Amino acid sequence: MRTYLFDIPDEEEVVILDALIGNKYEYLLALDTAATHTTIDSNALYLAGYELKNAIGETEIETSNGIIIVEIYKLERFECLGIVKTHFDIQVYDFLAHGITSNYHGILGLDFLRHHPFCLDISKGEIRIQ
Amino acid sequence: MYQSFEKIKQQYPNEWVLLGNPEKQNTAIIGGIVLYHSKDKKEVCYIGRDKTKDFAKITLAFTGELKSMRRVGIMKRL
Repeated sequence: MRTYLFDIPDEEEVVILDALIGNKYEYLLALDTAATHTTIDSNALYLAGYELKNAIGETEIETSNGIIIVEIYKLERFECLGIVKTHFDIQVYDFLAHGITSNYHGILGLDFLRHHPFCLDISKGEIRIQ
Repeated sequence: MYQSFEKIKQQYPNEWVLLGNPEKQNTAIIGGIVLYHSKDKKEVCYIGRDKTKDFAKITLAFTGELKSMRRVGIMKRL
């Protein structure tokens, strides 16, 4: 098991983790075990060098604000918690257009963690993961 | 020019900043090289993209305090 540290969130904050797109672009992602799939802000994806016309598909997702349509992109390299995934499919939509102005740029969902047993200790600010 | 994030926050309050080669401790930014800054996050992403090629690492950060609020995070593919 490897251990990763995060800042202990207060009562109105979430668990924020560092993620890396393409070994260069470091983005903050909120860990969300109520999210089936990993999702990032289209603005951050554009910054990371992706053209927003190159989606490989789209799908509907249910959010706490209702159903929205997101596009799907394939990331050449995506890293979080020491786990590197190549050709990783990620959901993308414009966070700003949907009123999300938080300091994180995406959501780390269960699809990323599904095959990696992990233990989250919020009181210590650590995640142990295989 | 490398600057501490405390200095960057003083220089560009309540703005989004694009940082080259950021220094971090866990998820907290210690400092970096400011490549672009604006109150508009979209502007930073779109105009800033062309300024990143000479840097090994890039990050994006807000220099102010965002409103604290409770969140409900359901995201389920249908």
